[in-house]
Amino acid sequence: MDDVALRRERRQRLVEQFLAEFGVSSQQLATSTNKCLDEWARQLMLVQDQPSANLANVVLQLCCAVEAELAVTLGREPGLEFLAGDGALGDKARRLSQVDARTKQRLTAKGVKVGLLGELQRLLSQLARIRRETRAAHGGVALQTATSADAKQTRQITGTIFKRVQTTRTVTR
Amino acid sequence: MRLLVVCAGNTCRSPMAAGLARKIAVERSVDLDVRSAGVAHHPGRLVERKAVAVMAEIGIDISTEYSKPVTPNDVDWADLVVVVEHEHAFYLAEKYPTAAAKIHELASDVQDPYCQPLPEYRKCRDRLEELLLRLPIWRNRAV
Repeated sequence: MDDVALRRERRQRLVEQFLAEFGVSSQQLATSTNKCLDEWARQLMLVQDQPSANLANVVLQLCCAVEAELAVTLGREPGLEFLAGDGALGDKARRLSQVDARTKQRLTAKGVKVGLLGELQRLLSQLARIRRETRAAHGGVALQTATSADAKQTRQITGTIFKRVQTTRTVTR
Repeated sequence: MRLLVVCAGNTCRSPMAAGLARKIAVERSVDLDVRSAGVAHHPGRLVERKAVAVMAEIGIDISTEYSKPVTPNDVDWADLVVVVEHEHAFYLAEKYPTAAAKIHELASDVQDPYCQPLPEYRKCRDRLEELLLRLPIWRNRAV
């Protein structure tokens, strides 16, 4: 096996280890999500044992993965299409708190737990705050310092979102 | 000769290595232009003060250096790209495949001294100098 293949395998292992902590596997996630997670693993390998590194790209790739997964799950639901849009994470969190009663009823009828939207709103707000404070914005131009604590917290939030969203996958398909 | 030195944050190892390379070039009368950058840089942050301090001990001033990203322009500009970590070499070769041939690992790993005490920075500085002196760019050019 050549170096490229070995490294791809190592990235895949990192992704699976991360997802397994939350009872999720890469096969349950969208292709676009897995692409972000592969890039996350690449960035993670780059900064491992490098205390001087800025972890903003690690944070950014997890945020991208969350956005990608939400877009192809709840974002396909009428009334939640904004989750598949280009809006900022903070904006998506805010709009989750404004979802109308009819959409909520429809989701509940499909078996989605009542508290899911509220929990997602809270988790997305936390992600948005980390991203804002570290300026881990898209495009890479305005990246500011993100610490290992930021990356750890982002990892925890991302895993929790994946776990929660998987429970809706079967009902929103 | 144009040399690009790359590390993680571009706050310790690569600015130190760049300063050392400039000094060696002067001592050996080698026409060398040097830049440094990081694969996970801190935009605009000045080089670590301990790195500045240990370089000042040997008469090299890197106090005005600041953290910069590796750009396609930098990679294109360089005749030689020197990295201090195995992982960084792979990353750059993947990202800039046409530049793969000019990417050179100083050693498999030069430990990141960030937040370590001054002696660790000295150790890192001396190790970098030792490794830089092994580069083929100085050959047959000693005064």
